[in-house]
Amino acid sequence: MLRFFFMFLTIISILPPAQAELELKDLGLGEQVVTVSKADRKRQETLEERHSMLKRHEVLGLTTLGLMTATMLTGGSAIDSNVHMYLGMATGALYFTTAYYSLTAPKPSGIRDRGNIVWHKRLAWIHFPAMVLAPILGYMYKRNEENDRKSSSLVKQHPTIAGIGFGAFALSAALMTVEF
Amino acid sequence: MKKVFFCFAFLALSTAVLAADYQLTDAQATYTVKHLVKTVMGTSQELRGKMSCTTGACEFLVAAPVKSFISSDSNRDLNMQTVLEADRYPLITVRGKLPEAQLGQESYSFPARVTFHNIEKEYAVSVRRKGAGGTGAFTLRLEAHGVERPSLLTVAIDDEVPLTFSFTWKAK
Repeated sequence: MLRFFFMFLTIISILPPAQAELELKDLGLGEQVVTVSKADRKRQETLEERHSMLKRHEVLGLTTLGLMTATMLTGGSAIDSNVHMYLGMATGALYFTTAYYSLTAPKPSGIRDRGNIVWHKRLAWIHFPAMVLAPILGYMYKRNEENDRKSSSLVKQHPTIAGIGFGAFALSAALMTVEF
Repeated sequence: MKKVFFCFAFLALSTAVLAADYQLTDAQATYTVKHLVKTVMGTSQELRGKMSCTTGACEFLVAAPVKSFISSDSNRDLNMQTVLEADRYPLITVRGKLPEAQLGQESYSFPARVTFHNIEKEYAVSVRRKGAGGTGAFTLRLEAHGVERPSLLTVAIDDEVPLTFSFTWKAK
């Protein structure tokens, strides 16, 4: 009798509990997946900081685009008035502030860029040099015109370089505003 | 007394023998986020699940890491992880019970408890059977789970996020 009882107990003990609710450990997910470590918290903070900085980058970028458009539209009257120059200065200041938020936004390690962000970044190789060159050439062009001096062929390229920069920047912005 | 023990042992053993465990294989889930100007999808193939059937009822648990959902844009994926606080709440889990007889039907639906962003809500899940598995869908509601909806051009994405999935159960 006692033998049967022990046999029964042994069988019962090796069987899984029939009605026990399934748990994550039944899926092979250990504590390290389920619990939040210090590193996880740090990564989340990094992501939130990145998100906040890129939001600012986005808003400033769109504002820059607006100002850049106004600068382009006033290009024709650049010699007669200073509106184009002031708009250009404001655009430049906002452009580099926008770039600052993008370049300093933290990025978690091991992330490989995919999708529109790749082209968004590639286009920066076009609009960034253009945004450095265009104001310098613009300033030289205006000064030459005011002093009746002949501008070099490079200085005369100010509208072209500004136009290329504007095109690349507008395209870069468009790529990201159809993303979220 | 001996008979009683035998009967009890038989009952316990037969329950255990009738119990069947299944493991999730070849599973994937896809979310669809809708916005006024764009619809995007992200897919995870890192689903883990188990189903346990005893005495005519099956209980299941499926989990997927939030970070395993990949869309066509890495920047969007990082934004999604930020909004969903993937490092604080790393898993999405779906659990529920359904009658075993339903599993043989061509299509069926059942209530499931979904824990997403650390908030549990119940959803009606519909499944269409395909061999030992099937395809299914339910619609998540972001705000019900305390998720702040991301916006694009000041317009927030839709609150409802359809989630489709495909799966195969393999007997363990």
